[in-house]
Amino acid sequence: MGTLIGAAAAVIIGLATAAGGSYALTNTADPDAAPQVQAKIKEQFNPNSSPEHVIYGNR
Amino acid sequence: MDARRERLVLAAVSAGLALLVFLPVLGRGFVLSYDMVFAQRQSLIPDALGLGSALPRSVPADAVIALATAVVPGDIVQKIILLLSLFVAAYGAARLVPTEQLGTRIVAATGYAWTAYFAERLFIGHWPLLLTYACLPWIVRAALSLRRNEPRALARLVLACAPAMLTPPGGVLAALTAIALAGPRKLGHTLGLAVVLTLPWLVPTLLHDGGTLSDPAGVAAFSARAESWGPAILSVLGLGGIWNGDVVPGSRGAPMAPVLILVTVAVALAGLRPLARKWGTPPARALLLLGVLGVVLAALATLPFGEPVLSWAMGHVPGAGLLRDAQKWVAWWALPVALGFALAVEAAAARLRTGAARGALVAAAALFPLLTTPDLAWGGWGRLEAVRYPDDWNAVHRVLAEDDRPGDVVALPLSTFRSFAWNDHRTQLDPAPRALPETVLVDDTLRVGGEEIGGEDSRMDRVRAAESPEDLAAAGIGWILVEHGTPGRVDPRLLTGAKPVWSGDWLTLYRTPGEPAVTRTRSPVPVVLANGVALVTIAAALLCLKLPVRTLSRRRNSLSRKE
Repeated sequence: MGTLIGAAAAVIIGLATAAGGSYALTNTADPDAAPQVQAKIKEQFNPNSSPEHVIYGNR
Repeated sequence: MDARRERLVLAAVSAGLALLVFLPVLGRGFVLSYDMVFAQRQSLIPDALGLGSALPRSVPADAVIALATAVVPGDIVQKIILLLSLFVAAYGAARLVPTEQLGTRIVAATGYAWTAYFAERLFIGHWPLLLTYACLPWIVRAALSLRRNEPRALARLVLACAPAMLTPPGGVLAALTAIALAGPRKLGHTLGLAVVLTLPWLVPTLLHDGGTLSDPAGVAAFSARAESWGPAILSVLGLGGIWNGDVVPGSRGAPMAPVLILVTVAVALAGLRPLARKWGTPPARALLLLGVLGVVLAALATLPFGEPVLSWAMGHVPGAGLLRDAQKWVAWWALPVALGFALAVEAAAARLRTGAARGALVAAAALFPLLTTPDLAWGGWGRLEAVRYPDDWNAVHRVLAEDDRPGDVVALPLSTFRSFAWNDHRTQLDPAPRALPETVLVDDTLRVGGEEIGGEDSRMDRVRAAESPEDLAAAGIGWILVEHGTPGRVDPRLLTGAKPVWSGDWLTLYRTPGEPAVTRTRSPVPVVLANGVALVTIAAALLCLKLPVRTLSRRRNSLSRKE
């Protein structure tokens, strides 16, 4: 029984770690997130120049 | 481990969780994100008590913050609230779970506090709901005491409910929790308590001139949303599914997320049997049914026939607007999931042979929520940040405070939300109504994607129709505040003839010509009375808990025996 619980827990934790780890990896590996690139994007993108209103959110 | 040391460990774990989220924003400055607006000193204007023309959606929360910021700076008040909301949630769940095992308590703490619900409501800025969420375990605890006829349980229930009821949704969440968990025999107590504590927003809502109907377009716009490949109800079961995709933690969209949700729910359901054994079946069943009600309400607009029924209700049933953004009701589902999950892990650990294996399983279960939603940590990985208001806001505050000219302020451009460079272009509610010492009218039309949801403030119709500052003065406007550096156009006709009295990089304040036609507001007496009744009830509960009633009665008894 203990082995079964251990195996099930290992699978669940493995899935959770994989989910968290892959998310962290894709986030940190995003070259656009680098401070230099972000600074350039901010320089070029000024949200005040185009839209009529600030929207509450997007679905 | 003795009880005192166990409590210290639990407090340390809860504080650790709170710091893990809020440490980066603890410096001076304000976290301004979507609906979360705090100001250095908030004024106790009529709107804060629900006496204005807008629906009392943030009542009495605004009045409480106005009183708090009269003593403590607003940014410190905000940080205390944010830190406490996570700390109290975690510590409350840890104390609530019926167990002798410290590990199980820690699993319940992380399982309840570190959720998609907390993350999404934090990022969208619904801090009163976070307070309600934090109070729910304490409400359940006090309601169970009341059910068992323990002394002073009613006083504890009043004090647990009070911070949870700062807004109408919080009031309903807290009241139904107390009613369901205390059971039918205590219905008189819990119903009475619910009515008294909800009076501060119930009375202004009932007396509101403009009606309490809402735009049916809001049903679809604010309905629960699928966050990954599963349907919306699956996201809701995982305590997420908020309508606004922009505030959802990225980890919620991971392909693995729906599988993990199903696993968590299955484990939690298995743990409800031990919960029923320890609490007794009726309270455990009540907690589960409340949770199921939360899930059904949250997902209702996405179910067959749900949307037309709700749309009809918005247009015909007063107060049905409470069912808009219904994902908030899934807070009820969080407790059965967290407690069930913790008890199921405890039952599984008991079957393991070695202490090391048991410890590993419990540690893994405690870390499970943090691993699946890592992007709640560190202020949502930079999503939240403390910023300072530009000095323009203080200058305009001074001008308005020193001038006793009648008339309200209208904020331009006409838009509910702002996006300023000084707040890194984050979407934020216009801070003017809370940062300035006068009643400020803002356009309450909400824009979700390309859709517009009509506002509820009846006075705004005249403001929107105005073509000159004279029209604004006729609508009771004495000042025009133009906010710069945020999207939206300002109709130049509204400023022609208005006199600028202060101007800076971010704000310009104009005075409307002539005498503004100020209309008499309704009598504040019923609302003040309602707040008074609620306050007296809270004070009485506090006295009942803190006064040494037993000691006094023992002394009186011994004295009478001597005589």
